[in-house]
Order: sequence, then C-alpha cells, then structure tokens
Amino acid sequence: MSTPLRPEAEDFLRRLRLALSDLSREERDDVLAEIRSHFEERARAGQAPALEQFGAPDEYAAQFITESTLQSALAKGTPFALGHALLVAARGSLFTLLVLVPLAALQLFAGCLVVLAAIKPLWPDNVGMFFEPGGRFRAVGFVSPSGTLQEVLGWWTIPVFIVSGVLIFWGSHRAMRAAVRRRLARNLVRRAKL
Amino acid sequence: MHGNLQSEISAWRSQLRKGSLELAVLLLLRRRRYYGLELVDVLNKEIQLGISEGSIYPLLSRLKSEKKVQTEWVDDGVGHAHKFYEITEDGRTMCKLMLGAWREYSAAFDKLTGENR
Repeated sequence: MSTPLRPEAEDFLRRLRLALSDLSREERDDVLAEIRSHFEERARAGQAPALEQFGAPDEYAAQFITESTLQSALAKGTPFALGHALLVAARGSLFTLLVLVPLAALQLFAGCLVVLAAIKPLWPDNVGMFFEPGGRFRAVGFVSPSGTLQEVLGWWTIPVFIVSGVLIFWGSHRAMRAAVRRRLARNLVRRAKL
Repeated sequence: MHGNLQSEISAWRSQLRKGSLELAVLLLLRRRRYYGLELVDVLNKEIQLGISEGSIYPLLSRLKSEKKVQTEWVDDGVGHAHKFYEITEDGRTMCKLMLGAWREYSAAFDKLTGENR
C-alpha cells in the first residue's frame, strides 16, 4: 500500500522519469522508486515534499546520468559505449564534440582498413595504395576501376592495412577512454549543488 | 557589508559540505545500514551539515557504482519499502583513507591557528 503523493510530487517524478531516459530501465526504476519512497515518507509524516531541494528534474537527472553512463562505459570499454557516454556528457560541451567526432572518424577509418585487408584477395587490383603514373599519391583504399593508377603495396597491403588499422584503432580507443576519464574527473570536481 | 560577509561564509560552507559529504556518509554507514532519507535527517539534525534533500541520492548512486556501498530493498512493514545502503570492504578502506587525510588536514589547521593566536 503506498501513500498518495501531492500532484506536484507526482509531476516531478514523471518529469524525472523522462529526463532519466538515458539510464537502463532497471537503474531508472530504482532511482525513481527510491525518490518516491522519500516523498512518501515525508507525506506520511504530514510534510510537503521539499521539491526545491531537488531542483529542476532535468538538472537533477543529469547528476545521475553522466556519472552512471561514464562509469559503465569505462567498465564496458566498447567504442560504442564510450562514444555514447561522451555524447551524453557532451550536451552543451563543444569541446567533447570536437574530441568525439574526430576520434569516432579515426575508429571508422581503422575498421575500414581491416575490412580492406580482408577483401584484398578478392579484388587484388582494386585494393591498396594508389599512385598516379607521374608518382603523385592518389588514394588509400578501394579504387574501381583502377585505370592507369598504380597499386604500390601489392600483397603487403594485407599486413600493412591490418597493422595500421589496429594501431589507429588502439590509439583512438585509448584517447576516447582518456576523454571519458577526464570528463568523469571534471564531474567529480563540479559535483552536486548541495 | 555584514550581509556580504554572511553570503560569503555561506558559499564557503557550501564548498566545505561538497568536500566532506562523502566522508560523513561513509562514517555513518560504518556504524550501521541506513536508507537515503534517514541519512539526510541524521546529517542535518544530528550534525547540522545542512545538505539539501536531493543531494544525497546522486552521491549514493555514485558510491554504489564505485562498489563502496551495496543496496537492498527492505519492506519493513511501514507501508512502503526502503532502499538500504550498506558499506562494503572497499567503502571501509576508502573511509579510513579519507579520515586519515581529514585528520592530517585538520591537524595542519590546528597548528596554523595555534601559531597565529
């Protein structure tokens, strides 16, 4: 049996639920149940919920979201989780977007290099590093038709692409983890308006 | 003039609270398990820390994700369940380290006020 809450408390909880949509369902329900229990206990004692001490639902939710998403992204460590956490944390931060977009592009590029290495045996003339007859660099990747362009790596394409793909991926992944850590450290400093 | 000083000191108090709330919570949890609202009431009534009610939950949520506390929902028959927080071994270690740092800091200030007296 639960204690009925005042409409303004129900409204706060409803808006908080929306604002917490970046959390997993389980975490969100847990936070909401806990705060509901807080309001219910105050109501039971005949006290109005001290909503002003929670602040605006959006801002209050942000205190849970950034920390929880950044922490779990570091624990998971996948590029997607790290990227998503930075995106969530980047709301309103140009700096994080300036870091995130180039790093995501580098990871995509690294992935492409590995895929290209894998399909080299299927299209040996179209995959590799290409120069124009005059010796000017033209492209790295897939070129079709290759026409007068000269592919210079030959079968070396496979190890070169794989190694550079892995190195680029590793480097940008480390940079992304560092960005998440940095963001978390900044949160610790700015934490909680008390 | 006096009003200015009042608002300055309250801003400074707020900074102190920010830095010390985690230690205060861990110290309380070292004694027994608490739920959020209980913690707020003890912190505000017994030791007059003056924290806002909402500020406890993001902190507890972080302590949980850092595995310094663990939680359990308990329906103790009052009509609604409470989420209780219990300190873990990691939490105890952290609390000990923070307390050590706190004491060093406080001793340094005692020295300073002693010298300036």
